[in-house]
Amino acid sequence: MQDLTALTETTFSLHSTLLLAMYLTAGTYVIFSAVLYYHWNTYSTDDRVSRITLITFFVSTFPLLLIMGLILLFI
Amino acid sequence: MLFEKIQLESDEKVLKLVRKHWFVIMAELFGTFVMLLIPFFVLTGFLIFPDTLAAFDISLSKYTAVIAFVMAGWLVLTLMAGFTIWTHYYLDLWIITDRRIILIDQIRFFNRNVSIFRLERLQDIEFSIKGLIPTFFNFGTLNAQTASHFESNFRSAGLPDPRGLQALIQKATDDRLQTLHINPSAPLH
Repeated sequence: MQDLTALTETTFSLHSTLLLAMYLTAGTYVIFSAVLYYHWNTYSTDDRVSRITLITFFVSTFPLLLIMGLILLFI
Repeated sequence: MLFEKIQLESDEKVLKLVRKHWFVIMAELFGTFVMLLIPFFVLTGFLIFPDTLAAFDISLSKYTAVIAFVMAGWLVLTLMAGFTIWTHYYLDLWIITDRRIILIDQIRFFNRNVSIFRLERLQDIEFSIKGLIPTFFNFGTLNAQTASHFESNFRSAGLPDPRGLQALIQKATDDRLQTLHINPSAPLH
């Protein structure tokens, strides 16, 4: 007979949950950025539009990821 | 860049590059914009009605960092969705030249259809404008039928000024047929 009292309870702290969310978001972001860069570099008809789009994307999203990382450091 | 890949013929002229009507992308981006604002609405709601959270014994000030973290994550994901819509809009186009029509259909990031048909193979081209908004903003669906063994129907919705496009393609086709009739040795391929 298995002793149920010997089973340990697994708990996730808030920090580790946020850390997991950060890893998932960062992973998705890296893959998405690579795909976006490839598409705009390969299929765009206008070099200027490609440049503006990619710069706008990185300028608007990278600081948000940075904020997420900084919050994790101080939480 | 795209034109390096398509490789236009030596004296082939691009008559028009057509993307979907601005209303189509604006309607899609509006949804993303609303999604972008959702966390701010929720937060404002909690600030206006603090009793809602007090009933669950939750204090906003205690979770400021977590809220900021979640909001930043939400904004990143929503912006990614917005840039996906913009990319699909911009990379989805019709290239009308004096010899052929190149249709690029960017369905998803890894689902892209490129169809090319020569104007002399064009059998029929028709457009339809259905609904109040398309009529008001002058956009609709263009349907081209070709004499081809493969897919013979090319259809694209949300194109601006479909009547003008139909006229342009029809004129280009007539000019092409006339050129071929006068000079049958003109390059077909």
